[in-house]
Amino acid sequence: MNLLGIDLHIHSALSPCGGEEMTPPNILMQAKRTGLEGLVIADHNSAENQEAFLQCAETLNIKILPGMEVQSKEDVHMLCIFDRLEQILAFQEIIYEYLPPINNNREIFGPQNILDWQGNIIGENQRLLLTGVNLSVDDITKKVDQLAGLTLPAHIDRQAFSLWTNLGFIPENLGFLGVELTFHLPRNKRQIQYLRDNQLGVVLSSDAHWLNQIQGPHTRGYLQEFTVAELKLALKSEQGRYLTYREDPFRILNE
Amino acid sequence: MKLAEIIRQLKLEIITGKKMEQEVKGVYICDLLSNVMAHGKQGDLWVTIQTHQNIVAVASLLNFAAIIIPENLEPDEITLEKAATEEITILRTVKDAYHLAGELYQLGLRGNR
Repeated sequence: MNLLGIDLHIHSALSPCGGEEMTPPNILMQAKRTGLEGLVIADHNSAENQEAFLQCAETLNIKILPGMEVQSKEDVHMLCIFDRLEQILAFQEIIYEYLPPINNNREIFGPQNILDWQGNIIGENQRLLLTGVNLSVDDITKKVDQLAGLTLPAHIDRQAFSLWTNLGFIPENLGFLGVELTFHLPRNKRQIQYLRDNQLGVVLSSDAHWLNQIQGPHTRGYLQEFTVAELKLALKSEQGRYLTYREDPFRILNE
Repeated sequence: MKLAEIIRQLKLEIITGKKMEQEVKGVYICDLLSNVMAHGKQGDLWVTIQTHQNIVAVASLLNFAAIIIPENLEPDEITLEKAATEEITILRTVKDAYHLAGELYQLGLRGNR
């Protein structure tokens, strides 16, 4: 097993809020430069750049798991991670079915660039991606489960689009193994205690929308390999797998 | 004012619930449940477009008189099951929250804040 520097939440230029510089070569070079070995590119409600990133990653010998950041109907952001391209493309079909039939306005929201593995723009996604899909947090989690993926409530320590803020607490019947926290926000002791009491693991990611927000691993996983199954074990600290951090989010409990 | 009276006057639909004799002390409108948990008061009528099952837990925790869902939205299946178990009353109206609030205010509900 190895200690891999990981970042499970990076946006590409497909996300309208993501900079146009967020191309496969740029992100992967930045990742390599800063010591990241396992990445998830998670764009809003779409997976149309996943193949390009997977192809580029092969040439640069860095590991990528396909992912997506879905906005639920309760305006909660959920990080959905899979092992294979065909799983995320099947998931994308579902998400597209439940997106409202509204087109993007690139002046207001930004361009939604579809890229090839070299970072060339080969199209633009016309759908409005920066919105909620007509699926609840429960629905989304169940659909990810059916495709053998991993769901992590995204950045629950933020005010906006956080499961904690919008739904008050983490629903217990959905089997969440962990949550994502924002690396640069101060820890809330009550929230961290809640996570500990409910056996929820934590992942710290960059949620990078620009290259300079990728600053290396905030989380490292002690894993056999970079897969969904291994991440699940590490979140539970089972079978010798675990997660470790640049700044331990649970340290506040000892203060 | 009694809940049954409010239901009658505003012609609210009863989606689930049996306890209609509670005294309604005030009204609270909010869709971020963490905010509701911080500011909701016992005896409140809670107006929200949230249909997630967590609304039942929050209403139960804070001892709300009832939940009212505007715009004729449909609560989730699990929400209804939980409401039945927890004995939480969920009402509904076609009106949006603004117009509903106007009518509640006109009934004389001034809130206990």
